[in-house]
Amino acid sequence: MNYRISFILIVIALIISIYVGFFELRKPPKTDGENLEAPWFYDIAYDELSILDITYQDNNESFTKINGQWTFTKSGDKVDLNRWSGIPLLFTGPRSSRLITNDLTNPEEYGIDNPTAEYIITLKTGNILKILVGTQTPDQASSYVSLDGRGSLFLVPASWTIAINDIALNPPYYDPNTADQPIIGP
Amino acid sequence: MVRDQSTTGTKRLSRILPSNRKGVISLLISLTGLLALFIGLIFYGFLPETQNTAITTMVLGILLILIGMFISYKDILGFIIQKKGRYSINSSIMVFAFILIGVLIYVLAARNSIRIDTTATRQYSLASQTTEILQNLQNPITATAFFVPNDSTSASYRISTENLLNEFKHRSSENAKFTYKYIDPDLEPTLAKNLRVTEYPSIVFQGQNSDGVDLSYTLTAPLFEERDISTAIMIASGIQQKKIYIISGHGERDSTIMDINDRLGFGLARDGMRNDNYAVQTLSIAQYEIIPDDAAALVIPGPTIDLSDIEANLIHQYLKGGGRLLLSVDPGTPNSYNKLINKWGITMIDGTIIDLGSSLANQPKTPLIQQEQFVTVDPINVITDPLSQVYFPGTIAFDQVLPADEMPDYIRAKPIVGTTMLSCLQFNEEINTCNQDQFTILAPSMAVEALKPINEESDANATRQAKIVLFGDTDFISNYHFYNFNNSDLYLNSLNWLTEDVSLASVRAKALTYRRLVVTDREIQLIRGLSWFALPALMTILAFMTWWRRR
Repeated sequence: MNYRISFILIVIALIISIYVGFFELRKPPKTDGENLEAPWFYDIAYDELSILDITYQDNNESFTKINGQWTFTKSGDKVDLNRWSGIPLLFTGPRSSRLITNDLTNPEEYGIDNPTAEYIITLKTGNILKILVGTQTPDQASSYVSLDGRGSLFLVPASWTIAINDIALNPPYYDPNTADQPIIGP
Repeated sequence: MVRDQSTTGTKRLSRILPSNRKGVISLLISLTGLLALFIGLIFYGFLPETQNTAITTMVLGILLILIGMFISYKDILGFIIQKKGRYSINSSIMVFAFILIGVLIYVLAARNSIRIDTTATRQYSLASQTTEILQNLQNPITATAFFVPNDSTSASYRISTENLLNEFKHRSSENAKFTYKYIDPDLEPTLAKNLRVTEYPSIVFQGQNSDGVDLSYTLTAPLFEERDISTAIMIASGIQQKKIYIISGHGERDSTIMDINDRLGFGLARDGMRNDNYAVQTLSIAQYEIIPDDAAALVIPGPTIDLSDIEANLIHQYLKGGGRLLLSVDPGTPNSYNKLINKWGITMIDGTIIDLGSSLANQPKTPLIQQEQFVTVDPINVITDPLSQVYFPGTIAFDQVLPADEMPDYIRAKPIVGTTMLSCLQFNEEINTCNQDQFTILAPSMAVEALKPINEESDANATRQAKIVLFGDTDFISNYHFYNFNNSDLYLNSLNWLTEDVSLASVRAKALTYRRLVVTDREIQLIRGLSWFALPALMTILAFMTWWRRR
């Protein structure tokens, strides 16, 4: 038996293995941008929400949950559940359509440096999440959003920000003539 | 006799290992050098930031190998001089040379790529017209393709579009006027917004016209075919679309009918003109009594009602001024059209052509024009060169109004196609044959170039010569027949010739050929079985046979 040929073959196989191991397996998938997963922008439990503060185009509204019922923070008035009922659910966190980057170095490109809207969520624990809403994507389908103090930039459906912004523009005042009786709790 | 394996192995090892102290030191130094060289190479290749250290390590390794060789140079020299050594060196050189040749070929091929399209329909090649457009570009054109990675809509277009853009770039490499880049619009929204991109995937073409004015044009999916990109490049470089007017009001074919089975509809022909980058519009001369100045050509498809004197005069004056006319008639066309073309040296001959030498499906009244029947002399070759077969279901013939030697030299009339010698004109619709004394070659289509009409003064304002293309049949361009054989190409090429857009317009979509191998489950199993077992079995049999012979 010719050991030399076997040896040469083993050496060639070793070289190819090293190449594959070092080059091929370590290559990132062939995409143009970062191939990042699209996780939740954030995800908090419904019961953890305590205060929701929305600022959009110089309009600011704040809502506090008292005894399981959402009220206007300033006036203490209850909200119109017909318009409000789905809003806290939106604040539990949207699924992001894309994670743009984990290290945002140019916030001005996405309007994060001068956000179009800011949402502040105060949890029962006292922790605060500040959401900065930047511009919309060129196709108007998504909005750029980022959590204040974090480096991540996400895309969320534009409808999510539109629905929340509308609450600041047209607050859900309770009108007994037009609204149904409020329903307690989720 | 049973040999002791361990003893044999030790003997072999003792032969490999050096027997003296100097040899051991030399071996150790050489191995250390090899190790250093190997480590240096690894670092050089995989950790660019340690390049200097890697180079130092490699140099050290080479030095150590040289020192090791120097210490035992007598042994090495002795080995080389031996027969075994010579064979080894020879083999090493051969292997090295083989690898070197392979590497060199690869480097050469990578630096001087040649693209060969092996598909039957030249699916991955650009039309010659497109190549000409690219080579004639005066100013740079930049295509910015906005595609979102991992987006399903973008993905379906991405590969084909990139292939096409790459081919455009490759074909413009001589003047390097066309470049493209891919942008993720979600990552660079400012750029996308500046270029007014509001949906993706889309491609923005930016360029300048000859006056230096910035121009741009945006294509959005699914308009990413060759003709779309060619059109976008032309618009972004300031080449305007030419206008074709289809005359209406005389019972012409209906250009709004798109049903492919309609035998009278002209919609597909109109669509073909649009695809050739013309702006197509219908025009009622009777209503407006004017032919617009921007008319690149007039098209009259199968009129059945006479032109009024005013209309005939308008068309005549338009032609005198260097106008272009594409007229297709049928047997029994009103006489005013014959009068119109008579002034330009051509006449319609009564009767329907019967071709006993070449006809479609044994219907002598549908002459089938084969490749050799196309006239390929200049300037008709521009129309007919790439064509192979067309047919005319019921056509009249044309001829010159004067014998050839009496035709004025300011009119050049040429047949575009000719029938076979076994042709004649038949006036009786029931008869499909010819008498032998009637056989002649007839011209169901003609092209005319004229500086002025016969016996008339030329138009002082005319800046170019008039051009007319005549077809004795209109059915061949009806929806039902338009895309059969080369019917559409003959018609559209004629229009391109009239508008002198041979280099610009005729970038027609290629037919996609279905090339998939369709197999049943059993056939898949057979293919799999053959590839998994049959080939290895064959090799095993061959190996066994070889062993048997050498045994």
